Amino acid sequence: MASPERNASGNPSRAKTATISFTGEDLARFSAASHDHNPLHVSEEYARATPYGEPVVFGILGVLAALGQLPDRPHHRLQSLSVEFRNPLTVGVSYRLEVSTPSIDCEIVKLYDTTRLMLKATFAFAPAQVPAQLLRIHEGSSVSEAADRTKTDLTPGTRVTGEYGPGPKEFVQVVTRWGLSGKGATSHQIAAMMWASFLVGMELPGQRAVFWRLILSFLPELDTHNGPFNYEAVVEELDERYDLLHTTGTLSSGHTPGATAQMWAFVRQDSPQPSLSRIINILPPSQRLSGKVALVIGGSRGLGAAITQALASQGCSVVMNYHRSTQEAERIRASLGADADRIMLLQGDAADTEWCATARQTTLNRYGRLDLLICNASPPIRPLPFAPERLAQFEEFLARSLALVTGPMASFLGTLAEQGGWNIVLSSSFVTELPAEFPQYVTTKSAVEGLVRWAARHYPKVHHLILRPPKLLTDQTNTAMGRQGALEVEQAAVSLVRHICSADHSESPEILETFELKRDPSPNRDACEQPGPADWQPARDQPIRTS
Amino acid sequence: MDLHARLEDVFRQVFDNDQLTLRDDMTATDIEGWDSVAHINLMFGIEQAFGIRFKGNELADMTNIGELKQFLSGKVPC
Repeated sequence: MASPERNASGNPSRAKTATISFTGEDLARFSAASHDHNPLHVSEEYARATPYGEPVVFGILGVLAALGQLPDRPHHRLQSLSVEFRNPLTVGVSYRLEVSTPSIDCEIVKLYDTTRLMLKATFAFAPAQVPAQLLRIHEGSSVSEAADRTKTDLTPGTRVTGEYGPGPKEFVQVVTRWGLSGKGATSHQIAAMMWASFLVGMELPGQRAVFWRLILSFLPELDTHNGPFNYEAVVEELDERYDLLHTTGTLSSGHTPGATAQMWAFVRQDSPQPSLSRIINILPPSQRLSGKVALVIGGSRGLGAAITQALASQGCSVVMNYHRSTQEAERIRASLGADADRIMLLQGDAADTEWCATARQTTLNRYGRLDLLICNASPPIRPLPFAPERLAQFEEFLARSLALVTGPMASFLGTLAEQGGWNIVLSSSFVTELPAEFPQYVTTKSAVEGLVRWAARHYPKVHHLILRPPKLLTDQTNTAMGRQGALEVEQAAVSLVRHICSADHSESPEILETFELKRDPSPNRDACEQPGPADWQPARDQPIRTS
Repeated sequence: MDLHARLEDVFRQVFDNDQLTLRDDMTATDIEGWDSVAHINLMFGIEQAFGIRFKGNELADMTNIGELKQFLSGKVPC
């Protein structure tokens, strides 16, 4: 396919802005074209258990979208490409794109989410006698599933080789979709960009990759080849401080190098799984909550799962609600071993009042009472600029988050009052720390706290407790920086259980915002006891897990 | 270019702000966009620009820009 002749523009002072967004179909098409099937981009279920909460747009797809916005360059050829993937792009968001031209042979494209820089790509060109052709490409890939390489598999010198060529039909679709003809990049160069995506997402490191930086240099020989490319890539360094992998790779036409790449990608670690043994280590099993019944909204993962385990370890019967994570829910129940029957799984959307009514009936039919309601569920929390163009997402988050608290509270407060039970609602230390990137979360949690204060006034027979944990080690914080200083969910869960079992609850609502832990001195305590201040140790004395 | 100007240049690149002016008493909260992602970019930017290597996350332990400059002046020739 030949590139159409278009007007060239060589004014170095030119700046252009545009808006682009990505659809699920764009991701599927790019995946088919590039052979990058990394599940972070194409599986909602997989992405949900990552810090991103939803499928992330392929970084190279962002680069191609940027390339398509460049002015036509019929007499130039792309020489190199340098990309910083600053923040993950997601589907359905309108990104602002700014093109600047610092010199006649260089274009810099920046993608913004309002004012937040998401991606920066620098394209360097050189004059060329003939227009960059969109040549015929040849499919070839020896990898169909993303490798699951952990840090121990990624020692310097680790090498991968294979054959590569994009899917021809989908390749053309991508070129057409993003208007890549005539931009100074040949089809083989576009294929080399896809190869970089494939190499990081499927090979080094593979499934755990979060692409961070790329420098891709093109050689003239790249365009002379006829047939699938060969590639070779090698691990240069794994920076343990940030789990950052540096690899170099070569894409060859036969034995002749056609493109070289330097790639940096974070290696994501396993999802932190709440552990009953860590709970038992600081709170030995007992029967102190025997006969009590709890409903944990959002109990299959993170803090909710640890609360479920901690309550059940103390003899409590727990109705564990979960929305979609069936496998995780079953794993948490199974972790109780012989006491697994203390946990009843109840799948459903707790924001749905009909579900709440059914859950209430199911709970009362089985146990005849409810002593503890723990409203823990939340939609994924991601940085959100506070700007007019993102208010729809802001309001959507607010509505969804609130419904996950209002639904259960409205449905269960009356039942809790019958038992003098507990209404426990998850807030966050963010309501006082006010981090810049989470205005929607701060607003939601502040609103939720307001509702609990209202409920404390009008449901005085219920104990009301607001939990304000600090940053917790969960799927959402499971990044190299996110893990630093994060509190283990088991520690927060044990603090909650200890608080419930302490004697004095005259204030209502109470706010639990210090999570100081100790080892239980008497492993067979049956009754609720109030530990004295001397028993408590600062949380920092407990090791904070960082891996 | 002196140390202050070199450091300012790194900050301008990382925070995508050509107008950013560093003062010794500035902390992370004074600089818009200094989140965990920017923090990693900043660390690598400083390492690359000054040819040094931070131990762990020692950048996070520094209270302000003045302390960072003091740290760098002990590591690199001015």
